[in-house]
Amino acid sequence: MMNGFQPGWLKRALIVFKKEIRDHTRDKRSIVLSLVFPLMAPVLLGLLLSSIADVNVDGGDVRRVIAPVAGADYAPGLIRYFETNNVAIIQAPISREEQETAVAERELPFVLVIPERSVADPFFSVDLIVNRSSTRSNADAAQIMRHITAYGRLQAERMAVRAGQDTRSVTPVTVQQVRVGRAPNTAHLFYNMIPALLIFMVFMGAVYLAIDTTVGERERGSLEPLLSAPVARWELLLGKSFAAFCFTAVIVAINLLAFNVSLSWATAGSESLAAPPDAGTFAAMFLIALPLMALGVAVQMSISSVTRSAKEAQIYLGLLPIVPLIPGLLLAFKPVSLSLGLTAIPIFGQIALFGKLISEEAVFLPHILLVSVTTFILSGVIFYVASRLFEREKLIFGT
Amino acid sequence: MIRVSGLIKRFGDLVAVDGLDFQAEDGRITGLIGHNGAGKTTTFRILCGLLKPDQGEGRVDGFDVVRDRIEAQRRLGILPDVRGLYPRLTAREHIRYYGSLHGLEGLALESRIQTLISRLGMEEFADRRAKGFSRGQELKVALARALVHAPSNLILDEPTNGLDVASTRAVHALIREMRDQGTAIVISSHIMSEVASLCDRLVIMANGQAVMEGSPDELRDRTGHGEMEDIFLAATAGMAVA
Repeated sequence: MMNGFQPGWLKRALIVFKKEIRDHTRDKRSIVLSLVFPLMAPVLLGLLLSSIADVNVDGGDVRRVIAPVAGADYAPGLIRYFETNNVAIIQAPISREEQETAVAERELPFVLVIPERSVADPFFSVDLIVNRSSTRSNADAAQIMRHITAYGRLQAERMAVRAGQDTRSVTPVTVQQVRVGRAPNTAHLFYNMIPALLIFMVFMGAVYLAIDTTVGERERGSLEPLLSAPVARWELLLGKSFAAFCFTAVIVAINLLAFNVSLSWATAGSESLAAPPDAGTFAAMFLIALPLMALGVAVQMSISSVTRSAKEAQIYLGLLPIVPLIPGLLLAFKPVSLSLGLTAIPIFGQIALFGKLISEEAVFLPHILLVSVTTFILSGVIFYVASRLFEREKLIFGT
Repeated sequence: MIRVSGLIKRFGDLVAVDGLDFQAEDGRITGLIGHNGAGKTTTFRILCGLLKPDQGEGRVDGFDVVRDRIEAQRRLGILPDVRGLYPRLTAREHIRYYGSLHGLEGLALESRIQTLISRLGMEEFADRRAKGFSRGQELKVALARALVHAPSNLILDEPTNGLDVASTRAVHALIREMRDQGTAIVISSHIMSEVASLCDRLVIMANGQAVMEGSPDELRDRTGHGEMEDIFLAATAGMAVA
């Protein structure tokens, strides 16, 4: 026997790691998936955000609206008010049927109909034809409604002055909002989806590699000679897990970079959409996600080690992200206040921290460290389970 | 030296190996032959540390294959029937990977790889990826992988399956050379002429047991048959065939 050195466990694990990295970076399918898969959600989200970039449904600001009006001559004061408030007037169809058809078929966002009346009469009513199924129609109509209400109040105040009354009699109760936190914006609904999508990527990123390096080895017949090598099973699994972790990290980094680029592109030049999270936020999310990647890999290796075939492993691992996605989805639509205990729960804690980062709220280092430690501990426990599963005789038979 | 004593392995109700005893001495080639399902592969898997016996023990150079698995594996080279190559690695990378796993590195490893490539006639495809290799090429890579750490014990399952005549001769010469250097070699083969010409000692298996054991000449004398096929059929007459 040749006198070989007795390398340590890390060295042996790194030998396996290097082999897996070399092997899988030569796999075109792995590379294409690594590049394309993490781009899908960011591109889709960017396109969706871009499509509503000029639509304001929040009422948070004033932007130019084109208002199709029928009967503009019957309310010159209102029309002047519109024009001084960034509303462009265009002629709407005359007949009610044509007006409703144009709005229903989305040729016009809405139609404001001012009925025939005496200009001297300060009291009048207008019709607003709105397509309730159209986001744009509702948004534009809401803005016109705000202008009409404001114009009505202005007229009421003028009448009160003429009558010698206090203008406050028009609006006896007023509200002054004290605003804290981030102003509401449609874009935030999209940004709040990022944590859940990121979790999906963390738990799906290296699924193919996890399957190929475990159950795939068995199907290829390469597992038996490998297990016959003088290396502890857990060391083999550790090397394979390192490789899966690296693939996941690269895929998550591409995913976050793509979010940064696509969301910046989608909101560029938009006056109504809130700015997306900046590069620093995405970098922080990446660092916070690192323990989660370890957890994802440990779970993938455990499942891959007990499945009978690559196909079966694909089914189970395809379902895997659903479990961690549940708290992410809940937090996306119903944010909760975080106690230290809640933050310490793996996955939940990270999703909550992602949410805080997205919301531009303060994130505290002890929270990050706490959930990182608990997640690494859980990853270690699951890896231990995976390594025990890797010791089973059934591993080589797949039954 | 490989020693198997009272080895029993069950899979549920099936007794795959049923009290097997045999010994493969250093510097000798021991042939393990039997019908499909006779228990040869299970025995090999136990010796390789892949399965644990229910009773009995297997030892490689004195190391128990269960309790001292890693030490036993360090002294063993294995050529499995299913060669199990990685399609995206080259032949040279396969040998290097297994050499590294056995603790070899640097010049010693590269020198050993080159020696094996030359010895097994692999120069033409040494740096090609394994996808698309012929069965003969696959076998050579798997054999080089088994030999890279110059093990003192070798288990070869169908070592010339798929090889052409010239390559078969080369492999036979290599096996004899390793035998002459003192390696304990266990071979399983369905090619009876190969078994007869290569092996110093034969263990004929049936139903998980060794039903006959001895040198080819001893078996000829005992059965009264000259041809190995006749000896094998006489030894396993009436035994179940999988």
